[in-house]
Amino acid sequence: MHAIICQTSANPSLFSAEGFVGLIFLLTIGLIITGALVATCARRLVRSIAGLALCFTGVAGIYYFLLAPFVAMMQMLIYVGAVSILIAFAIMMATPEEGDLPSRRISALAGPLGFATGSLIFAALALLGTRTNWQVFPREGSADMKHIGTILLTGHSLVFELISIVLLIAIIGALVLARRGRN
Amino acid sequence: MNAITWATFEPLLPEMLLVCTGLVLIGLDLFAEKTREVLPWLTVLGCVTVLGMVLGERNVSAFGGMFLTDSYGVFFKVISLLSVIMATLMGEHYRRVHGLRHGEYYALMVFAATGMLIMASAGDLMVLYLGLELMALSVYCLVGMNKREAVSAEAAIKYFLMGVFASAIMLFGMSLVYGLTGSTSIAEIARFTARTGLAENPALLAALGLMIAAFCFKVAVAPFHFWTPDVYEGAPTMVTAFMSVGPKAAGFAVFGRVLVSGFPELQPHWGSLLAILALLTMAVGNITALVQTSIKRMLAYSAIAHAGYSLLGVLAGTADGLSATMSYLLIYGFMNMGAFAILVLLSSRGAHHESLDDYRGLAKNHPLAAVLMLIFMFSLTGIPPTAGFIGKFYLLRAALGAGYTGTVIGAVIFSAISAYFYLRVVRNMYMSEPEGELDFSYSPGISAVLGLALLGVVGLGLLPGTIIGRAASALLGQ
Repeated sequence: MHAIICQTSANPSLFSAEGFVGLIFLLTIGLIITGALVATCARRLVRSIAGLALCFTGVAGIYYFLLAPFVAMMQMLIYVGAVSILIAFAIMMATPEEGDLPSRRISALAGPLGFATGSLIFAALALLGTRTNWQVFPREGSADMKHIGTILLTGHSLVFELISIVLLIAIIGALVLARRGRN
Repeated sequence: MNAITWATFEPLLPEMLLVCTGLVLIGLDLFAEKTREVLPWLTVLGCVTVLGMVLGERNVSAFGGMFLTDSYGVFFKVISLLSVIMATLMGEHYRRVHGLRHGEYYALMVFAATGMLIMASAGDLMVLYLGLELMALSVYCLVGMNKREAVSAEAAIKYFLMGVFASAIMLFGMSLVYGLTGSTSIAEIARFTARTGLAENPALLAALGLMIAAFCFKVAVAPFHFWTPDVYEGAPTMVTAFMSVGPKAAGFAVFGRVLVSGFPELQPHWGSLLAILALLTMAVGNITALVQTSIKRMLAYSAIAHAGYSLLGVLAGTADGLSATMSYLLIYGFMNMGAFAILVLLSSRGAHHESLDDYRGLAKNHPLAAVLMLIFMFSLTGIPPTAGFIGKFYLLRAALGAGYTGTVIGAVIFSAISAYFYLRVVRNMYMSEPEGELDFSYSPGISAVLGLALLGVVGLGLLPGTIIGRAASALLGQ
């Protein structure tokens, strides 16, 4: 697939191999943007979560395009399959008041200012992304599971152990904050 | 791919001991309710042991340069551990007065310390980020400890939301750097940039800008300081004291390490950017502090102002500058902890006594507390016999040496302005009549904090200042 992406000509036909891959890429991007929009704009929490799961699926697609199928699979398993479902369960158990979120008074300037700042950042990053001469580095090893496992337990063992401690703290912290006080 | 043996993990022993201390604290809190009284002392014991181990660390680079136990890191580790020890001792007093029975307070404190130690030693962006998250997650929870108080919960959620946003911005910057240089190792990034002449690449500048913005958030530099007053005011006082010293020092540790060893070629760019930010930070912190009526909020703005002073050493980008920032953060740790300890001491169950008016006539009824507060306020202002003066002197000298004359002039002016609000506390204590009766007693914990802080402020001030300066420069040169 790598070869296909690299050889993409200026205006491929939709029915050629590269044209079809390009279409799927655009679909993936669309999935991410739609998901993110739904997640932020929905007025009901359940819909936000559905948007979030959609967004995660799109990100998994990007990983696949980056030639990291293992990471893509993990993204589907962990984020779409576990994290989103967990949040959904948490919402069901907490039984939030259904209905619209209370509308808050926001300054009239907040919307336009936020939009302007966002567009400015977007434009700057888009310019950087297209104008910069990105150097392509040679790949180190293969992206298969065996290689990833070896790296995690040798050169990157410190990172691997640290992540487990961060997760431990997250669990303890969640318990501390969510549980009723003992006093 | 070297095999992993025990020897590989040896440089990590202090951090591992800290994690074990945290786990023991949680276990004791859960299963041995009777032992709650000893939890703070156990925390202090663990931290002091780790402090001893840290001081004995040799200069090694472990995990292929991901973890560096150099003297730069050791210095920041000492500051972080001191802040945890002092905050734990304050917690001991708080528990007596307010009946706080959260064993997790000490465990989270210890885990935050682990994160700070890892940040100080990080030689790789991945390790740096994980250390930062380890610290930040613990501190988010500490801020929200008092679940019954709305302000505490509000502070926690504000800090959390802003914090994850800053983390995301930092990760974006880091990923751009990785994409441009092909490495996450800080030393390798510098080598690659020098070899390929990447320094003028706008994408690299943008990446660095994103990372600087996130670091500025972590150490509360304007214009990324908006969370600070609310969070510092809402958090329990000993957590505020801890946040203003430990995590800030750890933030400066990564700030200095990434900029000075990762992007030395870009110093003209980030040097002048930080000079502007430092000036802005000192202005915002000192001028806003003038109108505060709550001492806790005033100290929050003062913490912002002091972040501005500390930046003066980093922006110089020299060994002298970094050592000035390092010694200033140590001194600031002592004087700020001292001032917050007085706040904790004066608070009683149900009333915090944090307003400026509560300090009226304090000298009449409680001369000892008033004298201590006077010394800490003098030191925060930077009045000569105290350590605060020495620290500021070295910072200004370093920035002047690097040619940032305008910023230094600004720093001196804002320093003079700060005298007004620090000395207003002193005036209230000594020149007003007492309004109400304050009732408090010295517990062993708070006495120990006040003793330590006094020793630091007076000791570091009376000792010839060059000792700190020389020690820090020698440390850097190792």
